[in-house]
Amino acid sequence: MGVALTRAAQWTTASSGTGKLEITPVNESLLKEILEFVEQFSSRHPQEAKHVFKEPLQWTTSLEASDFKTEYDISGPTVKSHETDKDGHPMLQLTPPSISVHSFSQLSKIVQLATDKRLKEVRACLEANRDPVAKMLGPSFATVEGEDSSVLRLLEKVKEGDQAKETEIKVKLIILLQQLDTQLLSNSLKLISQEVRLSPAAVKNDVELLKSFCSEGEKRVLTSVQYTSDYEFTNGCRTPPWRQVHGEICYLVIKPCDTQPLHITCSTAGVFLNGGIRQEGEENSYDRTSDVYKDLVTLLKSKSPHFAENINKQDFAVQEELPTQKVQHVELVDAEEQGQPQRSYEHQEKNVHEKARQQLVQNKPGGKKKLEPSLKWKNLGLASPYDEADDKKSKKNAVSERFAETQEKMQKKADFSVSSLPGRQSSDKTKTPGGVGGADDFSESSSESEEDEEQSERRTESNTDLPSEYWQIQKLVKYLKGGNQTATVIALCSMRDFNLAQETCQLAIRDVGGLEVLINLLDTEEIKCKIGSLKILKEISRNSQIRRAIADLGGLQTMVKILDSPDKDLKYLAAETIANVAKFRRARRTVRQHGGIKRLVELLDCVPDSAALTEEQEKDVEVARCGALALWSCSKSTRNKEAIRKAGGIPLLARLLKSPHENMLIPVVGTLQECASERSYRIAIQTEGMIEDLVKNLNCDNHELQMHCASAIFKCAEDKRTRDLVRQCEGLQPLVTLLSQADNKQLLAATTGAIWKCSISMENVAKFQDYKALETLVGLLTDQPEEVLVNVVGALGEGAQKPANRATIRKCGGIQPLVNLLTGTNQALLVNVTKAVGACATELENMTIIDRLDGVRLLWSLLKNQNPDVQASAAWAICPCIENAKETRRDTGAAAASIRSQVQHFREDRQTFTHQIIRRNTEPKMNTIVFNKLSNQVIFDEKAKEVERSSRNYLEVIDGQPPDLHPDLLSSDHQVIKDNGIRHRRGRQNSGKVRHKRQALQDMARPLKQWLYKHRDNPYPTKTEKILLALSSQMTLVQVSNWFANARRRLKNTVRQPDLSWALRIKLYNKYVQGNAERLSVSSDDTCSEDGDNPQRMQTSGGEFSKPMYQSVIKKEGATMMGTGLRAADAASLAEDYVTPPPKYKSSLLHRYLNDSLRHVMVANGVMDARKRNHSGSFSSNEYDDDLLSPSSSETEANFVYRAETMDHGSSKCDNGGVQKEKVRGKDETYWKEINAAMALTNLAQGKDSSGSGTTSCIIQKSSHISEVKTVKVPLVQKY
Amino acid sequence: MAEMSAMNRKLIQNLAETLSKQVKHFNKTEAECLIRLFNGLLGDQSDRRVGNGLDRGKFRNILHNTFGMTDDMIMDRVFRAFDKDNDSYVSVKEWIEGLSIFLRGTLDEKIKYCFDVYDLNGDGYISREEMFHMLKNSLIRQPTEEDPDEGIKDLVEITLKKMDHDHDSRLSYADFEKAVRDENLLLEAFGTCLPDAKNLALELSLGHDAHVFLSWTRGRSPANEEDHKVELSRQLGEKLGLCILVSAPGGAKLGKLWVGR
Repeated sequence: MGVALTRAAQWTTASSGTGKLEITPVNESLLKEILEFVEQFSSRHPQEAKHVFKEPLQWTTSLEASDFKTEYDISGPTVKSHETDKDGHPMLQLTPPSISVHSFSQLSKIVQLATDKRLKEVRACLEANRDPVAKMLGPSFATVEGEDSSVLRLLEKVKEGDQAKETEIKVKLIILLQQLDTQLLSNSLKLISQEVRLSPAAVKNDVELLKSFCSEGEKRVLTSVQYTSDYEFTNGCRTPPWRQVHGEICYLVIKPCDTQPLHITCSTAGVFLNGGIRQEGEENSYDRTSDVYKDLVTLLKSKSPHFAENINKQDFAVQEELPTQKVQHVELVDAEEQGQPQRSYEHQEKNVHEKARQQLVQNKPGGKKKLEPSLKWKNLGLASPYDEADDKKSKKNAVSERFAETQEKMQKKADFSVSSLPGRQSSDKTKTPGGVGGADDFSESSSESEEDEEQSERRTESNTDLPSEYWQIQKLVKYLKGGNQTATVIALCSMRDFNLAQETCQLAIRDVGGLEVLINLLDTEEIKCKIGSLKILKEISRNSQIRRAIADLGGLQTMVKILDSPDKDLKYLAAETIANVAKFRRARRTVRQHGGIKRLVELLDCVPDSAALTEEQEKDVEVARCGALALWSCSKSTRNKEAIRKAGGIPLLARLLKSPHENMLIPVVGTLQECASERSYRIAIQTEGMIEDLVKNLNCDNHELQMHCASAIFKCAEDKRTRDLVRQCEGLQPLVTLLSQADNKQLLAATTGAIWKCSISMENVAKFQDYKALETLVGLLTDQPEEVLVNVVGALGEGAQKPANRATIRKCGGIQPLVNLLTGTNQALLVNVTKAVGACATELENMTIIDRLDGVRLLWSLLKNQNPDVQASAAWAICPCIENAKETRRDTGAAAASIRSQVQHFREDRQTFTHQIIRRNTEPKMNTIVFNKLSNQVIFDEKAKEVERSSRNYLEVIDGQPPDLHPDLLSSDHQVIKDNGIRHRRGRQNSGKVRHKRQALQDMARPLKQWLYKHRDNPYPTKTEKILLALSSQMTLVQVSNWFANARRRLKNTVRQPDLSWALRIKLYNKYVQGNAERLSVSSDDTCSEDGDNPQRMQTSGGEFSKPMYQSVIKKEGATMMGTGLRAADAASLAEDYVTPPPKYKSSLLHRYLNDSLRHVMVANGVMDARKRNHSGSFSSNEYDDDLLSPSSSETEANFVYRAETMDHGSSKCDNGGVQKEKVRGKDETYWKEINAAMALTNLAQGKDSSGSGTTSCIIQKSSHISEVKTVKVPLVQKY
Repeated sequence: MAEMSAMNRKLIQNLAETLSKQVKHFNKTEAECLIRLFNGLLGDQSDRRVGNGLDRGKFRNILHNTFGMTDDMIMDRVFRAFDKDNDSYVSVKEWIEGLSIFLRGTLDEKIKYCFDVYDLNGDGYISREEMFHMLKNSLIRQPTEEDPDEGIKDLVEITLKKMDHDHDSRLSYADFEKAVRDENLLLEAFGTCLPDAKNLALELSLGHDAHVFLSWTRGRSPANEEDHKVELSRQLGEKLGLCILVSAPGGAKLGKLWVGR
C-alpha cells in the first residue's frame, strides 16, 4: 500500500507531507481499491482487524456524531467506540472535526457508516497519513523509497521482539497490506501506461517545434518559448536533479501572443503550469497550478485561444496520417532523426533499399511511439506547405519502395502532390503558409497515392499555373540528387542560369528539396560541386527565408569548415555565402560558435597593397574581401565583435583599409563602423591610424564607402583625440563636401553624424565655419528623415556654441525650422533640438525670433517629456531663453511697465524659474549662488506693497548678515521683486486656464483609465468596448483607440523590463513614471485635481508676513567673490515661477523629476562629486547643510544664501548690484521641495555639461523631506 | 652500366633542355624530372626502342591511379589527346607536352584539350550523340523509371541549352569555349579529364636532396623545399607505385622519386 501510494498516486506536492491527492482517474481507482479492501477487512480477516495500530490514524473527518450508531458512546459532538484496546483507550475517537482510529475493524466500520461519504473519508485519511502502514505497524515499516520492500524484510522486522501471537497477526497484516500494495500498483500501472508518458527527447522536439512557431509577423503563433535553464543534463532533463526525481523534465516559459507568459513544467506525467519558476530554488513555485495535459500543444491550446486557433491549421498533418502508415512513418522519421537530422531526403532516395531495411530493423524494437506527435510536427517543417510537401514526398517515396508493385505510380504522384502546392501558393501568395487551404489540399494529395492514374493526370492539368521555372528547377534538383559529379556540375551550372535573384526561383529550389542537396554537396569531396553549390547558395541566400532554411539545415557549419579549404574559390564563395546568411542573430551565433569568426579573420590575411596583382593575388584579395564581407555581417552581434577582436582582426582590418580596391574597402569599413560601437574598437581605430585611411576614403566617389567611412567617424568621434585626428587628416572638408549629396539619405545621415560629432571640438567648429558647413546644415533642416535631422541639429547645436555661428544660423533662417522641430516626438532629436535652440537663444536676436515662434513654450512643454535627457536639455535650453527674453524687455526700457502691459506670456514666468536656476550654473564666472527662500514668499504676494514690506523685512535681517555679502544689490532686487509680483499675478490667471484644460482632459480619460485598470491583464479593448468607452468618456472612437495605444506604449516605455505582464506594468507604472507624465491609476489623478491656486498656500503666504524670520545663511568663504553680486531677480523669479501651477501638483511633479534626475546625476557624477566635494572645501560642509536644513522639514523657516559672483550681462546692468539678502518664511514644506527640485534641475543641467572651467554648485536632495543638501562644485563649460 | 647511366643522364639532360624550350610550362629541371619519371614508368621495358613510349594500358594506369579517373572512355580519349601522332604510344615528347597542358595548362589550352577529349569522332563538334555517350553513366539509374535513358536525354538537352549558343544542336569549339569562359565549372562538362584539384603537386627529386615540387595548381611556380606552402600530393607516388632508383655513376643512388614529404 505504501509503495503504491508514494509512487502511483498523484499528489499535488511531490514532497511527502501535506500534499493532496489529485482528482485523477488513477487516484480514484486507487482509492476505490483501498476502500474495498478496508470495507471487507473486518469480515474477511476478523483477527487481524482487531490488531491495534502502533499509532492511530488521524484525519479531519466530515462524519458527525449523528452518523454513528450503537457500539459507540455519543456525548454531544464527540464519539467514542465501545471497543477499547487493552489499556482501555477507545479504538475510535471522534472530536469533530478530527477522528482517530486504532484498528482496521474500526476503519471498516467507519467506511460502512460513511456510506456515500466513504470515498471522501478514505481520501482524507490517506491525505493526512501519507504512509499509513508506518502508523499501523510502526515507523520501521515506513515505505522508504528505494529500500528493499520485500515481505521477508518486513517479516524479520516483525519478529524483533514481539509476542508470539501478536507477531502472527502482524505478519498476516503485513502480508495483506503487501498484497493490497501489489494489487494497487499493478492496477495503477495499467492506468498510467495508458497515458502518454513524455520523455526528454519528446519534450525537446516539441519545444524546438514550438520555437519555430515563434517567427515574426502576422503568422506567428507564439511570442517566445524559453527554457528556464540552459543547462541540459546528459539525460536530456533541464531540471535540477532533485526535481528530476519527480519526473520533471524541464521548465518552460512560453509567451503566447494573447495571454500572459505561461510557466510550464514538463514532466514524464505530462505538462502543467507551475507557480512561475523563473529561477531555480523557489520551493513552492514547483507546485502544479493547472491540470495535467498530455503534451505542450494541448496545454497551449487550452491556455491560449490564439494558439489553438492558429495551430489547428497545422493539425491536419496529424489527422491525415493513415493508420496503416503510421508506424512506418514514425519509424522512418526516427531513423532520420538519429542518423542525419537535417538532410535525409535525397539520401533516402539514393539508398532506398538500405533505408527500407533500416526501417525494418527500426521497427522491431518499437516503443518509440510516444515521440510521434512531436516528430510529425517537426517534419511538417516551418509551418510551410512546401516543406510539408517535401516531407510527404520523401515519406511517400519510402513507402513506395516498400510496395514494389505501385512503385512508379506513386513516385509520380508524390511529385504531383509536391508540385501542386507551390502552384497554389504562387497564385495566392498572401495565404498563410500552413493555412487551412494547404491542409485540405494536402490531405487530398496524400490519399492520392492509393488512387489511380487518371486522377493524377487531372491533377497535373489543374496545376498548369505553376511557373515553368518550378518544373525545370525540380528536374535539375532531381539530377543533382541522382547524378554523378559530371551531371551534378551540369545541373548546377544550368540552375545558375535561372534568375536566382527572383523569389519564385529561390523558393522553388527550397521547395523541391534543392537546399538540402546543395548543402549536402558542400560536404562532399568534389570541389567543383562545392563551388557550384556555393555559387547558387550565395545567390539564393539573399532571401531571408532561404537564409533561415540554410541555417536550419546546418549549412553554416559546413561553410565554416570550408573556410579552411586550400581552394581559394571555395573559400571566398563560402565566405560570401556566410556573409549573406549571417544576416540574422541565430546565424551569427552559429558562425561564432563553430569557430567561424576566427577563420574569417584569417581570410583577411593577404597582401593587397600592390596595385598590379597577379591572378593568384587577386584571388587572395577576393578571399579577403569576402572574409570582410562575412565579418561585416557577423559584426552586427556584440559578441562577434569581441570575437573578431580576439581573433586579431583589428590589425588585419587596418591593413586592408589601406587597400586601393574599393570593393575591398566597403566591407572593411563596414565592419569597422559596425564594430566602432565598441569602445575597444574605437581606441584601436584611433591608435592604429585608421582615421587617416577613413578620411582618405571619404574622398573617393563611391557613396557607399563614403557613407561607411562617415559613419565610422561618427561613431569614433566621440573621442576628442579622434576628432583632432580627423581635423589633422583634413577630413572635415570632405565631410562638408558630402553634405551636398542630399539625395542619398543614408550617406547624408552618416555625414551629418560625423560632422556633429566632430564639431564637439571647438577647433573643428572653427574649421566648419571656414567651410561654411552651417549654411548647408541649416538647409538640411527641412524635408529630411529623422536620422539626418538628429545629426544636423546636433551639429548645429554644437556649432552654435560660437557666437558667429549663431548669427549664421539666424541669417540662414535656421531658427524657425529648429523651433518647429521642437514639436517632434523623436527623443534623440528632441535632445539635440533643445540643445541647439538653447545655444541659439543665447544670442539676443535669435531669442527674439524664438520667442516670436513660441519656442519657449515648446521648450517648457518638453520639460514634461518622459525622457530625462530631453528634460535636461530642455531645461538647459530654457535658461538662455529666459535670460534673453528678459534682456529684450529690459532693453526696451520700462521693465515694469512693459511687463505689466503686455504680451509676455505666463509661460515665461514659469520658465524664469528654471532658467534662472540653470543659468546660474551655466554662468561661467559665477561661483556662488545666493539662493534665497525669501524670494519664494515674495512672489506669492499679490501686492507690490506687500512685496516691499517683505523685502524691507528682509533688509532688516540682512543688516545683521556677515559683511561679505554685498549690500548694493538691494535696490535692484527691490525692483525686480516688484516685477515679479506683478508678473505673478498675471501668470496665475493664465495658468489656471491651461490647467483647466488639462484637467478636463484627464477627467475625460478617467473612464478609460478605469477600464484599463480593470482589464489590466489584457488591456486591449474590443471594438464594442471602445465604443462604450467613447460614449462614457465623450471622446471619439479614434481618440479612445489612440488613448489606449498611447497608454500601452507609455506603460511599455516607462516600465522598461521586458516580459512583464500588463498588470504588473500598470502596477509599477506610477512608481516608474517620470516627470510630468500622467499617473495611471484612477485614484492618483486626485493628486493633480485641484484647480486654481492652492488656498492653503495663499493662507500661508498671508500669514507669513507677520513674522518674517530669517533662519540661516549658507555662505561661502569667498575669496572669489569679487562680486558684481547676485541679482535678486534670480532668486525672486525662481520662486515666482512656482506660483503659477498649483503648488501641490507642481511639487509632486518636480519631486518625481527631482528623484529621477538625481539618480541620473549621481550615477554620472558619482565619482566626480566625491572628489569635488572634497575639493571645494570652501563650501559649506555637508554637516552644516544638514543642520541648516533640518528645521525646514519641521515647517520652520529656512533661509540659505549662497553668495554668487556673477559676471553676466544681466547682472552688470544692475548698476547698484551687490549683495542682497532676503528673508523668507518657508512655512510650507512644499516650497522647500520646490527649491530642491529646482536645484535638482540645476544638477541635471550640470550633469550635461560634463567639462569646463567654471564652477558651480548643486544641491542634491535625497528624499521628499529634505534630509540632506549637498553642495557640490562642478566645473562648467565655458559658454561665452 | 655506369657509363650507360652517365650517358643516359646526359641524354636526359639534353632532352630536357630541348623539351623545356618547346614546352611552355616546364623548366629544365622539371622537364628532366618528368623524363626520368617517364623512363621510370617505362620501367623494365629493357628493350626500350626509340620512338616507343607508354602504351595505352600503362597510360591509363597512370590516369587511373594518379589522377583518379575512372571513365574508360574518357581515359581513352585522354590517351588520344596525348598521343598526338596517333601511333598508340605516348612518346617522351608527347608526355611532356601533354603533361604541360594537363597539369599546368592555361584555361585556353585546357578548353582546347577538353574539347579534343570530348569530341569523340574528331569532327570538330560535340554532337548530341557524343554527349549522350559520355553522359550515359552520369545518372544513377533508378529502377522506378520507365525509360532509363530519359534522364540522360534530358540532361543532354539541358547541357545543349546551356552551352549551344548558336543553336545548331551540337557544340562547336566556339560554343564550348564561350560556355566555359562564362562558367569555368563547365570545363569538364562531360567527364573528368583533368587532374583532380585535390592533388595539387607532384614532388620530384633529382637526387642531391634537392626536391622539386611539380605543382599544377594554377599560377604556382615550382617551389623549393623551403617553400612549405606548396601542398603536395602524397598519394601520387604511392598510386603510381613508383619508387624509382635512378642509377648514378658509380652505382650510387642518383635519386628517388619523392613521394610525400
